[in-house]
Amino acid sequence: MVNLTIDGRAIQAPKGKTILEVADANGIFIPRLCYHPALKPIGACRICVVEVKPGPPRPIPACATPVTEGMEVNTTSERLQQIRDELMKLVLINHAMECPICDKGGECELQDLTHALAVEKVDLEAVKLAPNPDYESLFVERHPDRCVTCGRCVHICRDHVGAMGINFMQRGYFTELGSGALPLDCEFCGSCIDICPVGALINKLWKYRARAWEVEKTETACPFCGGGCTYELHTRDGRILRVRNEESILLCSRGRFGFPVVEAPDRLKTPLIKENSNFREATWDEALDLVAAKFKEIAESAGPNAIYGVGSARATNEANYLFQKFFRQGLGSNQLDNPGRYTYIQALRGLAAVFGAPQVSGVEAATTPPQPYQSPLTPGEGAQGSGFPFVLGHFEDLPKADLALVLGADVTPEMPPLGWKLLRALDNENFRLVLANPRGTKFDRYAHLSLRYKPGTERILLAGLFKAFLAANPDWTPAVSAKGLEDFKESFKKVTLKDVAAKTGVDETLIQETAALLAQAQAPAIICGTELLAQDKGEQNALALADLFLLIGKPGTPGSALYPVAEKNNTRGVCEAGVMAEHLPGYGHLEKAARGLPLPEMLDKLEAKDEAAPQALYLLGGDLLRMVPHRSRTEKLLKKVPFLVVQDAFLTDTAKLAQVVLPVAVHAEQEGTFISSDGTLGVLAQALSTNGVRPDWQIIGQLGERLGYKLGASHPKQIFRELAKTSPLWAGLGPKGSYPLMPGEVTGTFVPFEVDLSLPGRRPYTLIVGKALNHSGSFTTHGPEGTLKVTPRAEMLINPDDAKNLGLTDGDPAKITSSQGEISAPVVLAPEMPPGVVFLPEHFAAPPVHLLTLNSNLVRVTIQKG
Amino acid sequence: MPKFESIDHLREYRRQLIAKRDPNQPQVLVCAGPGCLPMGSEEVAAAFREELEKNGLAAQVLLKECGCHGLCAGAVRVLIRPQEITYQHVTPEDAAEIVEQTLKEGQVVDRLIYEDLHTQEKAAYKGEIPFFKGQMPIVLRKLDVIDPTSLDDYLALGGYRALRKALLEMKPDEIIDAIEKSGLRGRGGGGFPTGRKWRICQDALDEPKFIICNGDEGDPGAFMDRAVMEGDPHAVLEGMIIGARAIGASKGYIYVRHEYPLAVGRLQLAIQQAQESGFLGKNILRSGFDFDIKISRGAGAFVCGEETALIHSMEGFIGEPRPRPPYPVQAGLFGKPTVINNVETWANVPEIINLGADWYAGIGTENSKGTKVFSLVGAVNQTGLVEVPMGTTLRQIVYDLGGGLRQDREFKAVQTGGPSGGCIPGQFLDLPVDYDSLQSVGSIMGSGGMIVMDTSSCMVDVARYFINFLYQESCGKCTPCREGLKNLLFLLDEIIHGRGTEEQLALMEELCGTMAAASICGLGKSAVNPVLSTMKYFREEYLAHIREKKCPALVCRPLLKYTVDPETCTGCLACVRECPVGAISGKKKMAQEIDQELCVKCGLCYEACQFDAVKIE
Repeated sequence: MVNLTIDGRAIQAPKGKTILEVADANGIFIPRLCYHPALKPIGACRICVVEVKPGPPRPIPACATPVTEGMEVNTTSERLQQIRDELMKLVLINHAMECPICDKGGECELQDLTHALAVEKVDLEAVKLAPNPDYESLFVERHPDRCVTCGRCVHICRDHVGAMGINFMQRGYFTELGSGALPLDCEFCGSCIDICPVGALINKLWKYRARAWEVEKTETACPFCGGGCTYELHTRDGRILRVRNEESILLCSRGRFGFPVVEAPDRLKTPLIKENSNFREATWDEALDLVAAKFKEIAESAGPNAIYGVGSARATNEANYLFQKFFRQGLGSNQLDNPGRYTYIQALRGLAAVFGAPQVSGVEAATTPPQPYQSPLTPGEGAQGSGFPFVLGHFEDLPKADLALVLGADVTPEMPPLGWKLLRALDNENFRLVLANPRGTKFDRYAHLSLRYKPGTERILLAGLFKAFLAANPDWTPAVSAKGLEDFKESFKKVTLKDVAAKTGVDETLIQETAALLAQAQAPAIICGTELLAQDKGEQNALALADLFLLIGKPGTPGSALYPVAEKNNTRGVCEAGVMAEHLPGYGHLEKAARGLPLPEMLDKLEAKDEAAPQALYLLGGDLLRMVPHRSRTEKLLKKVPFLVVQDAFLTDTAKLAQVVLPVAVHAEQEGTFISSDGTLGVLAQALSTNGVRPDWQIIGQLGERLGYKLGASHPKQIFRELAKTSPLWAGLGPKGSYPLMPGEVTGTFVPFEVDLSLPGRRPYTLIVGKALNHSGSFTTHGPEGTLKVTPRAEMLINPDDAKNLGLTDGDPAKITSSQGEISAPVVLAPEMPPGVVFLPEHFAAPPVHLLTLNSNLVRVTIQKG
Repeated sequence: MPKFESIDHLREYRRQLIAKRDPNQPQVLVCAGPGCLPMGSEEVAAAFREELEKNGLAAQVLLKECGCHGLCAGAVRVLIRPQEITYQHVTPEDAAEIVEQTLKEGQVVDRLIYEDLHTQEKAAYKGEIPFFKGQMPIVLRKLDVIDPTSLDDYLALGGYRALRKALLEMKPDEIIDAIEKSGLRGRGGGGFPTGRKWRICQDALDEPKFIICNGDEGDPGAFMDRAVMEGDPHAVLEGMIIGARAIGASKGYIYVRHEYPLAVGRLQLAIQQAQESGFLGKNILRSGFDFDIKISRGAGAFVCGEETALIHSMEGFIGEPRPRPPYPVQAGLFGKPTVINNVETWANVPEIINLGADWYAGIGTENSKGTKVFSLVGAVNQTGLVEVPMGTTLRQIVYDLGGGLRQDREFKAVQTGGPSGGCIPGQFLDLPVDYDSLQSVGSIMGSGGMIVMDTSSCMVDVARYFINFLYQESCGKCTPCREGLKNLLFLLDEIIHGRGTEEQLALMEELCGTMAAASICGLGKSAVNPVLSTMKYFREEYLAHIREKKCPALVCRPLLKYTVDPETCTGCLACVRECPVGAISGKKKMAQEIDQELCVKCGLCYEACQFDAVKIE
C-alpha cells in the first residue's frame, strides 16, 4: 500500500494502481475521454492530466501514472481546468456536431464531458475533414468525422479480440478511423461499437430503435457457446434491441448480433401434431394429452425402456434435470442420453479413464438461508475432491499458464471467450503457445510453434510427442501421483520419431522442440476442441491428452489444467444434470446393469431392428440430423421410430420427422441456469414474455402431471435447489461462480491409447467438418437479421493450388462426394488450408454436410467442378 | 582483417599498422560527406584517380573518399596531406592541375583556396581558415581523414582502444562513473545526463537489457548524425559496445532512417567488420562479454526520433509515442530496460574513456560539458558542420566561424534545435550556447540544427514554416498536438493573409500553453517554441501583419503589392510577357500598370524587370 493525497484527501492505495484508478475507487472524478477500465491506458486525449508533487513541472496523465508513496495529486487547479477546457475545444472543433442525428445521444461520453466541464464556446476553428462515412459494413456504421481519435476501438480490436479489423489510417491531423477504403471485413464482434465513447461507431441493429435511457436492462447468460459470458439484454416493448457487456465490453458476433434469432420468422408459435404426414396446429392441451397417452400406451405395452430420451445442450440444467427425472423417476428407465455423446462426452470418458470419476467428501448443508440459484450444499472445512473435474480449468486462470498446447481446435470459432483469454495469456512474455492443427487458424499468428499435421493423425503425433519427451527426460516424474508410467512407456516401444514425422507430416525437430517446451513449462495448459473430439476415436484422442496432462501437468498451479471445449451453452451442464446413459445427476454412480443405451447404440438397435430398439423418442431439442454423422442413416432410422416427440423453438429437420412438436421458449424468455465449458454457473433471467410457447421445464412438468408423475416442478429456482442437492461437486456454487470450490487431490493412471490413423475412406481429399465463427449449432442460422448476414451459407475452404488443379475459382460450386453421399457447395480459396484438406462448417441446412460423413467429422472425399 | 583473440594481438596489429604507414605520404582526401557527395565528389575522386595513374603517382599518393570535411559551403572539398592544404569548389577538371601543381611541384593552386569575403585574404592551410580555427573537434575529429569503409584507418587512429580499456581495465560501474563525471548529456535534444540514464538502466532488475542508437535525425537542414554515421561509423559502434558493457546489455540496435542509405550501408559494413574482427559477437576480446548490433531501418517519420515512438516502430507497431513512465530505461524495447542515446552521444563515449572524464569535464560550461556539433545553415557565408565547446557564443559561431551573413545583410535571428526550437534575436548574440541558456531564451539545443536568418526572413512566415512541418509530422495520437498544430497553422495563415486579429494572438498563446503542458511527447511539447519565441521577440512584426496588413520583410505574398514605377519603366513589356494572368497593361515604350484586382502576386514581373521598375510594398 502507498499513502498519497488527492486534492488534499489522504488516501491509501494498493501499489501499482494508477492515479485515475485510485481516484475512481475513492469517488474523486477526474475527467477522461480515451481511458476505459477494460483497456490498458492509452494516454491520447490528455484530458485526465493532473498536477503531481513531487513530479515534473508540467501536468501528467492520471490514467497512465502509477501512484507513489507521498505523492500529492491536484486534480482541479485553475491551470488544469484551463487545459481541459482548451483540450475539449480542440476535440470539439473536429467533431461533427450532428448530435440530433447521432444515435449515441444520451450515452455519449463527449456530450457528458462537455456538460461536466461546462465548455462554453469553441472559439477555435480549423479545416474540417471529409466525413467519409461507412454505411456498407455489416452491423457497424462508421462515422470517422465523429471520431475523437481516442484509439479505444483500435486497441480492443487488436489487443483483446485479435482481429485487427479496424485501425487508424493516415496520421497527424488527418488520422482517420478506418479499414482501408473498404467495408469492414472482420469478426463482426462489434466490441468497437460499445467501447467507442462517441457516435463514430454505431450499432446498426440498435440505431434509431430507442434512446439509451428508455430500455430495460436484464443481466443474463449468453446462449451462443459454452464460454459462459454474461451480458445485458436491452429491451423495450417486449423486444430485444441490443446486447451489451458493460464490464469487459467484449462479446463475440453471436453474442452481440445473434439475438434477432429470438424474433426469427420461423419460430414455432403453437404445438404441431402430424396428421396424414402433415402438421396441423394444435392447442397445448391437445398436444400434451396426445404425447401422454402415447407414452403411457407404449410404456404399458413394451415397457418403460421402449421410450428413449435425448437431452439438450441448449436447454437449461433445470429442464435437463427434470427430463432425466421424468425418465428415471416417472417412467422408471435409464434410457436417455445427450448428443454430447459425439463430442464432449468423449472427452469426459477419456479424462475419467486417467483421472478417475469425481469423488467429493466433506460437503455439508449450507447454514445460510438459500439465495436463488445458490447450491444448498457448501464445502465444509476439510472438504476435498478427486477425479477428472479437478483437472478441468477455469478460463479466468488460463492467463496464469505459461504454456498452452492447443490441439485440434480453431479456438475463436469454437469458443470466442477462450480466444480472448489466450490473448491475455500472451501478454505474459514467458507464455508459450503451441498450436497443432491440420489447417491454419487465427492463433497461428501468435503461436511460438505451429504444428501442421495431417488430419486424423493426432494420436500418432501425440505418440511422437510422448516418445520425444520421454527420450529427452528419461527420469521424469509427474507432478502428481501417477501409476502405470512404465507400462505406458512400453506402449511406445514400436513408435519411432521418423515414422511419426512421415505419417503426420510434422518435422522431427518440431516435435522435439515441442517436447522441450512442455518439459520446461511450470504451468502448462492443454486445450482441445470439437474438431478433435468429434472424430470416431474422439475418446482415444481425449485419453491421449489426459495422459499427456498427467505426465506434464501441474494440477494445483493456477492455469495448469485441461480445457476441452464444451461447444454449446450447456454442453457440460446436460451431462452434470444427469442426462447420460451411465450417470445420475452430478455424475452419480449407476450400476452397469442399470445403465441405458448410449445414443449411438440406440441408433444401432434401431438399425438392427433389435427388440430393445425404442418405440418412442422424446427429443429435448437437438437437431440430430444436422449434427450426427451419417445423416442419411440417421434420417432412415428416425423415420422407423413409431412415435417421435420433439421440443424445439424451430421446425428443424429432425422435428419435421416428429409426430408431435412442442414449441419452447429460448434463453431470453425463461429463467434457469447453464454450466459453461469451464464450470461457471450462468443464470438466465427472463427479459421477454413467452408469447404462447413454454419453457422446456414447464412442458416436461406438465407432461409428467398427465402421466401422474410427481416431478415437483414448480419453478426453476426450486428445481435448481433439488439438482444442486444431488451434486456435491457443486457445493458452494452460486451465480457466476465456478466449481469445484474445494481443493482437489489429483492422482492418475496412465492408460495406453491406440496409436493409429482414423480417417475413413480412400478418396483424394480430406474433409474436416467444423465450426464457423458466426454460428452456434443451427440456432443462429434461423435469424436472417443476425449473424446469418455475415455467414449466410456453408462455403468450402480449399487450398488455392488444389482449386486451380480442379479448375475452381472463388464462389464456384463444387460437387463433393464421399462413400456416403454427395453435396454441392461453393468454394472459397483459402491459403490457410494445406493441399489435400478442405473444410466445411456444419451449421447449415443446405448443404447438409453430414450426408458425407460416416462416423467422424473427418471424411475422405472427391471434389469436382459443378 | 584478423579476428582479435587478445589484447596483445590487437596491440601488435595496431603497432604494425602504424609502422607501415608513412606520415609523410602524400594524400588526397576527397570529401564524400552529405554536402559534397551531391556536388559530385565521386566524379572528383575518379578524376584524381585517373590523373594520378596518368602521372604514375597512383602508388605513391594515397587517394581516399572521406567523411564530411565540415565547410560545406565550399563543396566539393579536397584536403591534401601532409601539408593540410584545403581546396574548395573542386571540379573534376581541376584534378589535373592539383596533381601537377601541388602533388608534383608542391605549389598551392591559388584559385581553389579559401578567400575571406571581407578582407579578400586567402588561406590555403586548414589551420588558417577561421571556420576551422574556432572549432574543437572531438566527434568530427576523424571525419576528414579516415576512409569510413576501412577498419584499419579507424584502428590506426586509436580506434577500439577505449573499448579495450572499458572491457579489460574498467568495471561496469567505473565506466558509468566516468560518463557521469564527464558531465556528458544526451546530444539528441533532451540533454538528460547520460551517466545517470545508464545507471538507472544498470540498476533495473529485468533482463535482457538493450542498447539503442537513435539515428533518426529528422530536423530539416540538420545532418550532424548523418555525417558521423557515414564518416566514422566505428566510433558509434565502439560507444555502443562500451555502453552495453556498462549496463549489461547483449543486444544493440541502430535505428536509422531509410532515407540515409549511405549511412545504413556504412554502418552495415562497419558492423560486419567489427563482427569479423571480434569487436562484436561472443566473448569480445576474450573478456567474456557478448554483444551484437543490428540495424533497424525507419521509414522517416519525424516523430520516430522520439524514444518511445522509435521503440514502437522497432517493435513493428505504428510510430506513436506512449505515455512515460515507465521510461525506456525501466521498460523500453519489448518491455525491457533500454538505454537509448543518439549518434553523437555514442560517438563521444570512446573519447571520454580514452582521454578521461576530467578532460571532458574541463570543456564547456558548468552544466553543459564537452563540445556540440551544429549544422550551421541559412543566411551565413560559411555553412557546414561545426563542433565547438559548450559555451561558445552565438556571435562566435555566426560571425567567426560562419563568416557573417551573406551579402552583409543584417542579422535577424538564429533558430536552434530543429523545427521545435525557438528563434533567438540579435540581442542574445553573446549568449553562450548550452542546454540551459538556450532554454532560458525560449529555444532548445535540440540535436544541433542552427539556422541563421537575415532581415529578408519574415518571422511569421518562419513560424508558419516550422508549424507546417510539425503539423505534417505529428503522429496524431494525442489531442493537443494533433488538433493544436492545425489550429496554430490556421491562425498563422490568417495572419499571413491579413485576416489576423490581436485576439488571435492571445488565442495562440493560450493554445501553445496547453500544447506544451499536455502533449504526450517532445514533438507536441516543444512544437510551440517557434511560435512563442517569434511572438515574444518579434511581436511588432506580427502586429504589422495584423494592424497594417503589411509584411515588413516582404515575404508574405498575400500582403504584398506590386506596382510599376512610371518614372523608371521603359515600356519594354518584359513584365507583360511574363505575367501569367494578364494583369499588366500599357503601351509599348510607355509606363505599364498592374491591375491589383487581377494580380496573383507571383512576383514574375519583379524578376523579369531589368530596370528595377517593379516595386514591392
